[in-house]
Amino acid sequence: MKTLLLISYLFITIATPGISHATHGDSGGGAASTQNSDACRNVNQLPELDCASAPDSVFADNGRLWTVWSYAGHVYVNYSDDKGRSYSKAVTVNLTAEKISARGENRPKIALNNKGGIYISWTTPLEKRFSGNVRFSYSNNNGRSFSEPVTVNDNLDITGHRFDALTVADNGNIYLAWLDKRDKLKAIKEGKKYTGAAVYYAMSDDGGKSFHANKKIIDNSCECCRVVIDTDNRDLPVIFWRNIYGKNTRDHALVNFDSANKAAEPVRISYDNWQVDACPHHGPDMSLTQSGNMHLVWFNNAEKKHGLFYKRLNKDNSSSETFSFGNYNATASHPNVLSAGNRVWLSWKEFDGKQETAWVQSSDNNGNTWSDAKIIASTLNGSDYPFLLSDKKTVYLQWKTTQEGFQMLVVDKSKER
Amino acid sequence: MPLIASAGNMLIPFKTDSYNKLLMNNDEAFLMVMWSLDCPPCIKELNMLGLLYKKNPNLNLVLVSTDSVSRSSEISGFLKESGLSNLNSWIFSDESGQKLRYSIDPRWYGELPRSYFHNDEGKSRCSVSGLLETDEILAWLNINLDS
Repeated sequence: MKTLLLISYLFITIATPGISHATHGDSGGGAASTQNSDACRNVNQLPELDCASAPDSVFADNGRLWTVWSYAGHVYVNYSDDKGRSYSKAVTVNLTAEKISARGENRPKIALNNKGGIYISWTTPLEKRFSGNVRFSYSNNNGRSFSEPVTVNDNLDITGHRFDALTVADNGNIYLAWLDKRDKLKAIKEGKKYTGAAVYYAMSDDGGKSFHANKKIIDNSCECCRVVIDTDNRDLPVIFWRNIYGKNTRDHALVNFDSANKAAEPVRISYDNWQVDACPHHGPDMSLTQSGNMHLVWFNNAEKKHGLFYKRLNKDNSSSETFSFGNYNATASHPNVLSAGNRVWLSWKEFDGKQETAWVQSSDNNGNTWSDAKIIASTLNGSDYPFLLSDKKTVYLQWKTTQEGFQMLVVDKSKER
Repeated sequence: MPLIASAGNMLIPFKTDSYNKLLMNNDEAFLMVMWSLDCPPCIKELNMLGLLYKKNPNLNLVLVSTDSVSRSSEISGFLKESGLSNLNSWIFSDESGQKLRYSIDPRWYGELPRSYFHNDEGKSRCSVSGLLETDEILAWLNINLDS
């Protein structure tokens, strides 16, 4: 065992010069969180991942794990060649400090294309309450440096352009979607009523050097839940979000695209009828397959239909029955979904009054039937949302907890896919 | 400009035992409203509550912000703006938000605003997710003043 560790350590040192030796546990027993510790406060040294509250990670095709996070006004990117146990020194994305939204539904995002491009987005809050701009930066030199950040929303009113979501298609097109309040602001100025926000998107077909004009998908979305975006097997984006139907029914909607810069009509996905004039702070998630299926998960809290839900949309527009998962009486929350071929994994977290637990449930047949749910890890003093990700061999759960710090927990390595 | 300092300007840390203490120490009906600076309907609601409180100073209101302690000054500023700075206001302490929510209500998923109408000296309560209506609060207030 010792030899094996030594070999892997040497490999990392040789393969990635400049790597820091910060370690992170992969089974719940790792380094304690250093958030707010002296290491994070030292202005003369780069902070480490454990200083961050809301990281986002993705595996590159070569198995390298890339993570974006923020601390004290800067967005940082670093990578790990040993599945999150040790990380390279962080590279600063925005050299000039700015406010960065990074808590719960909000966090900087990272996306990679298959040619080595690294793309980053985040929201910078502005002075006025609920206002913000969507920011974007990219690296074409394997993350050694990043482009000067740009604001993607082409409306610069001091209003909401927040809750950014980012994806890059295999053909290199980059898409960002977000919740936008430019139309709400206009309506208010005209003395009209406007419920919620709008979903807007922007597309770049030159690697992030410029973006086409922003386009609106829909008016009256929910205004404080994360939006998710991914690209399908036609290199076109799919966007999924919590919408407002009628006066105040908070159900979910999805939109496909007809072509690179033309969205189709949004379709309603959930009919739970949660009627509430509130901020759920609880957005959905989605995983698209090569075959054209879409695996969707969400939370709703209507009196008659509440809890976590899964539904599969098939490529022929038919859909599966809605499957309810997690223990509602243990506050099952913040669902996440990942798929590969016919396999699907669901994750979420629960709380039993004493400890928080991260759960996974999986399916071998495209979400038709499900394994028993199992606990992957637990913690005692607070945690981030759990996120599923895969390096094509193994499925991991990213779970940042106050006590254990940043963790990449092994979920499933039993089957080659 | 004179600085007006009163006990009400202070944000009291809300801990996992705070809710039980609130129940024990309140011998009359009270309305507890959970809110956050990150929640647009909460801002609407607190502005409404500020107006209502001005007209009905007998409204026994307990406000709990779920924001992080680092935003205390922003919160105090907003409470002052909305005419609610004379109340005792609480803010979630550094304990896990999940634990704090659970200590109030295991069935509360964090949606905001979230309100609890406590009747009969805290022996029974009714929870509401989402923006409250002025009439709804006044009706509750009337019932509880009559009894």
